[in-house]
Amino acid sequence: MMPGDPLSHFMSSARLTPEMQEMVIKRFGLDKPLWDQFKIYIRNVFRGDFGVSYSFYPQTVMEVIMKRLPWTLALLLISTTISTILGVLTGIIAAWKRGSKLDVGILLFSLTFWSMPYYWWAMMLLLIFGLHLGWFPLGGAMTAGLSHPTFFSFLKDYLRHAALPIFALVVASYASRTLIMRNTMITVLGEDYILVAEAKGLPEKRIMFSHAARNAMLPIITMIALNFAFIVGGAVFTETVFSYPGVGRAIYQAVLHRDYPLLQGAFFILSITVILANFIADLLYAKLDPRIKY
Amino acid sequence: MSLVSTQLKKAESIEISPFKEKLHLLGRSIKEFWKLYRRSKIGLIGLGMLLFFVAVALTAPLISPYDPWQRKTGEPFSGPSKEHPLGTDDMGRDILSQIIWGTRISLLVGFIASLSATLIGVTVGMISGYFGGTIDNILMGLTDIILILPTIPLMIVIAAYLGQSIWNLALVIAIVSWPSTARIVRSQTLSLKEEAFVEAARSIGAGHIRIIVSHILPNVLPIILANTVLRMVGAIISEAGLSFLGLGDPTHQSWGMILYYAQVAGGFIRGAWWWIVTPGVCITLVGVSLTFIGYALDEIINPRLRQR
Amino acid sequence: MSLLEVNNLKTYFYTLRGVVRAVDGISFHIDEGMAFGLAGESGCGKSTTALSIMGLIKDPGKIVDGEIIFEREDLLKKTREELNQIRWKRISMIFQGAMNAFNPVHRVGDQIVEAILYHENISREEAWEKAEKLLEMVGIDPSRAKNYPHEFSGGMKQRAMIAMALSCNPKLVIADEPTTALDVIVQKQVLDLMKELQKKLKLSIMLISHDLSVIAQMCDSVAIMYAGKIVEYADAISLFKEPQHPYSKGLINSFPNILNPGKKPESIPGQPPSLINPPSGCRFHPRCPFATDKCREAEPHLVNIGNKHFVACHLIGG
Repeated sequence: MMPGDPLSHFMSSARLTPEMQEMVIKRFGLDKPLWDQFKIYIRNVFRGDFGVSYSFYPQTVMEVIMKRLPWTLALLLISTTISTILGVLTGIIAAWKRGSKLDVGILLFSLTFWSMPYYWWAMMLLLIFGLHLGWFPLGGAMTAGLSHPTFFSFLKDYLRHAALPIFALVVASYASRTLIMRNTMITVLGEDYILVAEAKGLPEKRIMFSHAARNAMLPIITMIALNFAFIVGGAVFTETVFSYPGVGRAIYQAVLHRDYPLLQGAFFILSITVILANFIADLLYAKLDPRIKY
Repeated sequence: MSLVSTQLKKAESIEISPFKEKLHLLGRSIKEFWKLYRRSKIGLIGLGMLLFFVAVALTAPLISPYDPWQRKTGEPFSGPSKEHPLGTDDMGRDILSQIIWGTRISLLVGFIASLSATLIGVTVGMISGYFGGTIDNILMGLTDIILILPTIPLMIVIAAYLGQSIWNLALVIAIVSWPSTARIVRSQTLSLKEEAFVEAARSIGAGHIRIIVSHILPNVLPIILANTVLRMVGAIISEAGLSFLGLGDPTHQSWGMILYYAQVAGGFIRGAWWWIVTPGVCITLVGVSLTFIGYALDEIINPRLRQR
Repeated sequence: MSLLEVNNLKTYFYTLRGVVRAVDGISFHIDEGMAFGLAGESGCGKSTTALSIMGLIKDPGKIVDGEIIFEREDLLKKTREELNQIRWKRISMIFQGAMNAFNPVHRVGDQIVEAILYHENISREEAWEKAEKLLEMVGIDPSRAKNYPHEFSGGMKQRAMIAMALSCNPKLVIADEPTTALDVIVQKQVLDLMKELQKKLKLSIMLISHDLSVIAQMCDSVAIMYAGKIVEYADAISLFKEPQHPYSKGLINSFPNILNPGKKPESIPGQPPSLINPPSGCRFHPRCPFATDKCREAEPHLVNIGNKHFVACHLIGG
C-alpha cells in the first residue's frame, strides 16, 4: 500500500491478538480493493468521520483533533492579531520615513527575520528563556495537575506557557507583514491623490494615516489572508518545539508514527480553517473598499 | 511605446539571425546587466555571501576537518574546543564537518526545488495565459487548489507519503511553490498578449510556440528572476523545516537534519547550544544573502523603486 | 502690484542618469485678477514650475536657485508648517488629469470638506454646506457630494477638482492642463466655467497648457517655455498676433487657421531636447530654421522689444 505500511506499524504497537487483527482489518475495510477503500474514505470525510487514530487508539481522529483545535486557534488568533497590528504600524512608519536611518534599520531587521527559519528561532527562544534563564516553562499549555478555581488563574497559567510560542510566532510573521505594508505604502504614496492632499496643506500625519494607509490596507488584507496559510504551517513547527498541545503538534506526532488517518484529518481541518479565514478576509475587503459592491 | 518598437525590431531580428548571433546578444546584455548590478552595494554584499557558501559547498571534501559520519572523534556533547570548533554531537561526531557537508545538501535542494518550481510555474502560466479558455480554467483551478491549502501542512502530508530522499524533498517543495509563480506569469502573459508586437508577430505568420518562446518569454523572465531568487530562501527554509520534522533524508546531512538530531538525540535538553545555533545561523545567512540579491535585482528591473 | 513674482527659478532633478535641468532660470509675474498662461511642449518644465511654486518638489528634485515672491513673501524661505497655511488657502492647484486626484476610499464631499476644515474655523455642517454650494457652482448636483470618486465621470471629476480648488477662496489658482483629458465639448464647458468664476471671484489664474487655443481663450498674459527656459513673454494679443520667436511662430502656425483653411499647418521638425544635456547656446538652435553660429555658441536673454514684449532670440533684439 503506502510506504511505511501503517498496518504493520499499528499492529505491532497495539499488540493485538490474531482475532483482533482480523477484526481491525474488517473494521477499517483494509481488505477491500483500493477503489472501494477510497470511496468509503470520501464518504466518511463528508460525515466528519476520519476513522480512528492509529497512535491515539482508541480515540477517533476527530476526537483527537477537536481536543487540540482550541489551543491552536488561540495561539493563531493572538499571534496574528499582534503581529498584524505591529507590522502594519511599523510598515507605515518605515514608508513614511523612507530612506532615513530608521527605515534602513527596520528594513534590515525585517529582512533578516524574514530569512530566518522560524522554528530555529523558536528553539533559540526556548533555549535562552526557558532553559538557561528559566523564566518560562519548557512546554505544554498548562501546568500538569494544577486545578484552576478561577478563570483568571487559568489565564495566568496559560499565558505563562503560551508567552514564548506566541512571541516566536509574532516575530516570525511580523517581519513579512512589515515588509509588505512598507511596499504597499510606498506604491500608494506615489499616487496622485497623495500629492493633492499635500497641496491642500494637510499635515503629514493625516496624509499618512487617513489617505495613504487607508488605501494600503486593502491589498494588505488580501495578502494577510494569503499569508494565513503560511502562518498555520508555522504553528506546526512552533507547537512542536514548545510541545504545545495543538493541531500542529498532532501533525508532527502523526508523521512520526505514520498515523495516516490523523495526518489526513488534521490536514483537512487546517485546510478548512484557512479557507474560512480567506472567506472572512474577502468579506472584510468588500466592506472596506467602496468600489466593490457585493 | 518604446517597448513595442524595440520588440518589433527584436521580432524581426530573431526571424533572421542565426544562433551564434543570439548568443552574442545575450552575452552583451549580461555584461550590461552586470554593470548595473555592480552599482548596488546590497546586491554585492549578498552575492559575496552566497558565493562564500557555494565555495564551502564545493570544497567540502577539502576543508572539512573530519568525516561527518565518523563517530567518536571526540567526547560526545562536548562544547567548542580547538579540535572541534563547533563541538560534537551525541555520538561524538564533529559538528563543523557536518555543517560544511550540510551546505551542499541545503543549497542543492533549495536550488533544485526553486528552479523546478519556476520552470513549472512559468510554463503553466504562459500556456494558461496565452491559450485561455478551458485550458486556462483547468490549470488555474489546479493552481488555486494548491494555493489555498496551507503550505507547510501540505508539504508534510505529501512528504509523509513519498519516501525520504532529497529528491522527494525537492519535489515536494517544488509542487507547493509553482502555483504562485504561475499566477504571476499568467497575468503578465495576459497583458503581453494584447501588446502590438504580438499581433505583429502573428501577422508575419509566427506559430504559437514561436510567439510564446521568442516574444512572451523574454518579457516574463526579468520579473521571474527576482521572484526565483527570493523563492530560494523559502525553499531552503522549507527543506530545513521538513528535515527538522523528521522527513529528511537520513543518508544525507543537511542543516535541517542537524537540527533534527539535535532535537531528537537530546541535544536540546542538555543545552548543547553549539549544536543548535550554527545550523540556524547558516540558514539565516544564506537567506539574507539571497534576499539582498533579490532586492538588488528588483531595483534594477523595477525602476520605480530606484528613482523615487 | 504683483500677486506672484517668480525670479530666476531653477529646479533641477538629480537622477542616476544625470542632472535634469527641468526649470533653468525663468522669471515672470502675475497681477491680481490676471490670467497668466504658460505654454510649451510636454516636458519643457511647465508642470515643474507649478509644483515648485506650491513647494511640492520631491527627491530627487530640488529648487536650487531663485525667488518665488507671493504677496511680498518669499515662499522658498518658508517652513513646511508655514507653507501648509498658505497652501490651498491662498494658492491652490488644479492638477493634470483629475482621474486619480481623488482618494478612492473617501467620499468626494469629505475630501472637499477636509480642505475647508483645515483652513477655516467653521463647523463640519457648515463646511459640508459650503462644499455642496461649490459643487453646484461648477454644475454638479450637490447631492452627489455623498458619492465616491469612482461614481463620477471624467468631466465631473475635473469640475469637482475645480470646486475643491476654490473651496478656501484662494487668491491664485494654478491650473495644470485642466482640460487635456477631456473631450472638446466638456473642454469648452470647463473653460467657460473657469472664465466665469475668475470674473465672479476676482481670481488670478495661472494656466498651464500645451494647447495654445486654450491659452488664447483664457489668458491676458502669456509666456512660452522651451527646454526649461522662457523664450517669449508678452500679453496675449501681441503674442498671438505677432509672435517673434521662431519657436512661438512654429507653435502658433501648427494650428489650423479657420480664417485661412487652405493653409497647411506647419510642424516643428525634430524632438524636444534632453534636459540633462541641453544644446549649447540657444536651446532651440537644432530645430530652428534660422539658426546662426552665434545661436550655437551664446545663450540669448529675454529682451524687451517694446511694449513689454520680451523675446529671447539673437535674431530679434540680440
